[in-house]
Amino acid sequence: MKKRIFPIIFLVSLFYVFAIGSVLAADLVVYSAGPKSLSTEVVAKFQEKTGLKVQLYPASTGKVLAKLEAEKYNPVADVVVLASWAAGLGLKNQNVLAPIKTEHSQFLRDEWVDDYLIATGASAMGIAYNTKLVTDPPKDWWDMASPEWQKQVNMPSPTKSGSCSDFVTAFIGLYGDKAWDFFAKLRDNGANIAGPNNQALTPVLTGARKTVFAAVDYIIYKQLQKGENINIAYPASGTVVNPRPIVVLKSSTHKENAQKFVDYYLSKEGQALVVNTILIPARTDLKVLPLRVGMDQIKTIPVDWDWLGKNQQEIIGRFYKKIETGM
Amino acid sequence: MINFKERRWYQRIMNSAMLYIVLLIMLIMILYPLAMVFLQSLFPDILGGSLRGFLSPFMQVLKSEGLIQVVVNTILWGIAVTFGCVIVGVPCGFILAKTDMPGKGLIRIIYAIPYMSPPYVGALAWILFIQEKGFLEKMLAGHLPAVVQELFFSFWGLTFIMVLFLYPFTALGVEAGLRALPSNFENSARVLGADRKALLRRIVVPLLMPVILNTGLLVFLQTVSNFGVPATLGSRARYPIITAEIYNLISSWPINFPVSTALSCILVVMALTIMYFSERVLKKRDYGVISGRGIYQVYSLSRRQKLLAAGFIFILFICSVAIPFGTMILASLVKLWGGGFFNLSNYTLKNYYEVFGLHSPGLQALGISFSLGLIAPTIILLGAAFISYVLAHYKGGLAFALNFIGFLPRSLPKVVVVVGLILAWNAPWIGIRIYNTYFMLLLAYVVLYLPDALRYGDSGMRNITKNLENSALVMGASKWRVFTKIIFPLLRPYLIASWILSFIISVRELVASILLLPPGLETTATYIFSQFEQGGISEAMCMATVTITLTVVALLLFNLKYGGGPVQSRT
Repeated sequence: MKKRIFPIIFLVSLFYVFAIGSVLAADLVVYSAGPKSLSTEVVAKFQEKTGLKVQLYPASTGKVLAKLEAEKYNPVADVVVLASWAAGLGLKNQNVLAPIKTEHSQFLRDEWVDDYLIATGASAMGIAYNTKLVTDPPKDWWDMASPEWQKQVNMPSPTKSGSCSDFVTAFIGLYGDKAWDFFAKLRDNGANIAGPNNQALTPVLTGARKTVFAAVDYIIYKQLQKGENINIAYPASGTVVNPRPIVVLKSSTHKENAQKFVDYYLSKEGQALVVNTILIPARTDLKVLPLRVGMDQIKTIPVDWDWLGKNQQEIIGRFYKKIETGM
Repeated sequence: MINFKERRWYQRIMNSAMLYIVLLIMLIMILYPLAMVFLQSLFPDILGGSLRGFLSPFMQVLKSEGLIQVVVNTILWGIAVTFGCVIVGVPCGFILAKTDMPGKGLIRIIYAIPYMSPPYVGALAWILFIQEKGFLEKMLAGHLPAVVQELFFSFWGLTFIMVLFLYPFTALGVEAGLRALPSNFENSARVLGADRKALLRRIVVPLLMPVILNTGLLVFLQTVSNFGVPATLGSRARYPIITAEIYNLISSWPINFPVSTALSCILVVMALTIMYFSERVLKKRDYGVISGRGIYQVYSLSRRQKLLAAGFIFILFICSVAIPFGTMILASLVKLWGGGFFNLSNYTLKNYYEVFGLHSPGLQALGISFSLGLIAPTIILLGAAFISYVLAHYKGGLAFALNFIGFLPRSLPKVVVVVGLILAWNAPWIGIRIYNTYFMLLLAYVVLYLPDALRYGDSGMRNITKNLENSALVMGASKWRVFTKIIFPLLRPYLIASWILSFIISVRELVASILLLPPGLETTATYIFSQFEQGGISEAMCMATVTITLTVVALLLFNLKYGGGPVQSRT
């Protein structure tokens, strides 16, 4: 009996392996940041509609960028969706993108369309707070380094969250040294700066901490919709709205499929999925869900996206060393 | 041993051909990746085809006080854990070997349990236990002083966790060491008037030194090579350690492969130095006392001492078994994190249905790990049988070198080997697409676990007398027949043992999976890791519970069949 079990197990596993192997032969490979539910839904509906096989890699912006960099000599991805416009510009500056356009361009905002990037939607950054523990949320970013919020603040790491990295870079770009000092003070005040968006949020949901600095708004709205004790406030001095770009890699061998995917994402059908995730849609002919704040009601700070694109990598690297790890 | 020189010239070439095949395999699978690590640390642009920037990665490390701090951190941590393990392990081993403490079977099981789970799962469980609004705080109804959390999420907590998982090395090593010493010296000392304290100080401890030093070095090596604990607790404790930094530098943006390999080289130098000293120590301090004769003396403990010992072991049990495993199981059952801790209705099995439902990512991850755990060991088994057989017939320098290369991936920190594999197989000059597929992970497992199998194969080959082989050859059997009908069946018990071990390790393996998995595939370990990071605590713990249960069952089967003490090689 023992003699025969081995070959059987071996053959069964080999069969399984080849079954997996066939799965990996895809018509399109998409690396996507942002909510996993959104990317999997878009991919699923796209596959249904076109019959194409799509391989999806859902991860945070930081991980997607790292993977692209690691594969730089042997690229795999065709289409990339990021949660950071500046990171998209960074890719453009590295010369790895193919020019992009879409049949829906007349319905999109001008500032969210570039020769190489197109926004699929956007979110805004705010201050999230636990409604059971906090009746008077902070009015502005600068308040959160005060003693009142000692050890009560969580912040995602810009190396893991694309929206956060855009925000931090823009913030530093606008306020310079004042911003660096503020972040150091925030950390010394006991703020926990680590992980992707969800890791920063969970302790505030459970009540272990009171607030999230630089929370991505759609995530908070989703929790609010679920019935959790959380809400978001937009600071008085202004915040950053993060358009989430979709790009096509120059190295892609499936450019036609990629184009179909881009067009689907920006079509009314695709954008309806974006709206349901409580994001701000890219199309101007669609409204946001009633429970969230629309574009026109959010005060923003001036952002020089080109400057961000050129300097984000260096600034985030410095942020990681100086602020996050205190090295 | 058959004198191959008697054979005809083409048969001689055939014989050497086997050796050269082994050489080729070793070169491609092991030396090439390691060489890439070394080269990349010297020439940052080598993958792009240029040799510029010689030594610049090392310069970057030396110039960055942050990275130097990381190296210092790692060394300090290693030393602290080693000390901790010695302080905890020596009494443990002593209790087992030299006292009349009752319940030794149970005690031995308690010592063996930390082997059952990889340290990173224990670290995650402890985090859940101690963190703000964690289980401990809930059990104490919120009256937990913040200093407990501060202590845990720091260097001390990191040390504590590693000691909990590594103390069995020293405990069981000390036990074995004590048991092997006959009591002649003790008895003579007693007769000459030494009291207990002097006895311990001047006889027992010096005789134990080789064992303590050797296991101490082993513990240090295991600590600095460990990836899971720095990756989970280290970041929360803001205590960066080399293995986690090597990983961060190639998986988090902005990535830096050259500096990552420079750090890897530093780590390798550390590991090799330790191994070198370990060999030296063993050679120097061999007092040659293991004569196997003499009466074996056991100390009888007073009742109070027995209670103290029992209390000590009980605390160990609570910390290394009850708390982590209990937390893990409880956390997998929690319905709502806001719900009460003591509220029985807040616990449900539903999480398991969701995590392991049909077509769920959890079930897929388990399936992938299983398939890897079944296929990789099989390939390793065949490879190890072949290689040990060939190497057993050659005594020359080349064979020695090949043996050494074969053991390298085991002694070097796994994260370094994996980085090498990435560089090697993702290089632009590789024609076939292996990297970023399932097969890359399979290849990695084979490279990482072949040395263990080789070790078993090696001892297996030693136990097979050459006479069997020689008589068969004289009777006219071909080499192939000798191998399949004589050698392989005789090696089988050793190979099956190593197969089961490789299976157990593969199913819960973390480092290679986390770095090499292609998009869309997850293993049990990466599932646990990513769920934990994203806040899916219950999901992570469900997977952890299932994986560890499977591991325990497999280990129990292994022990039942092959007896003997706990497994020595684990990751």
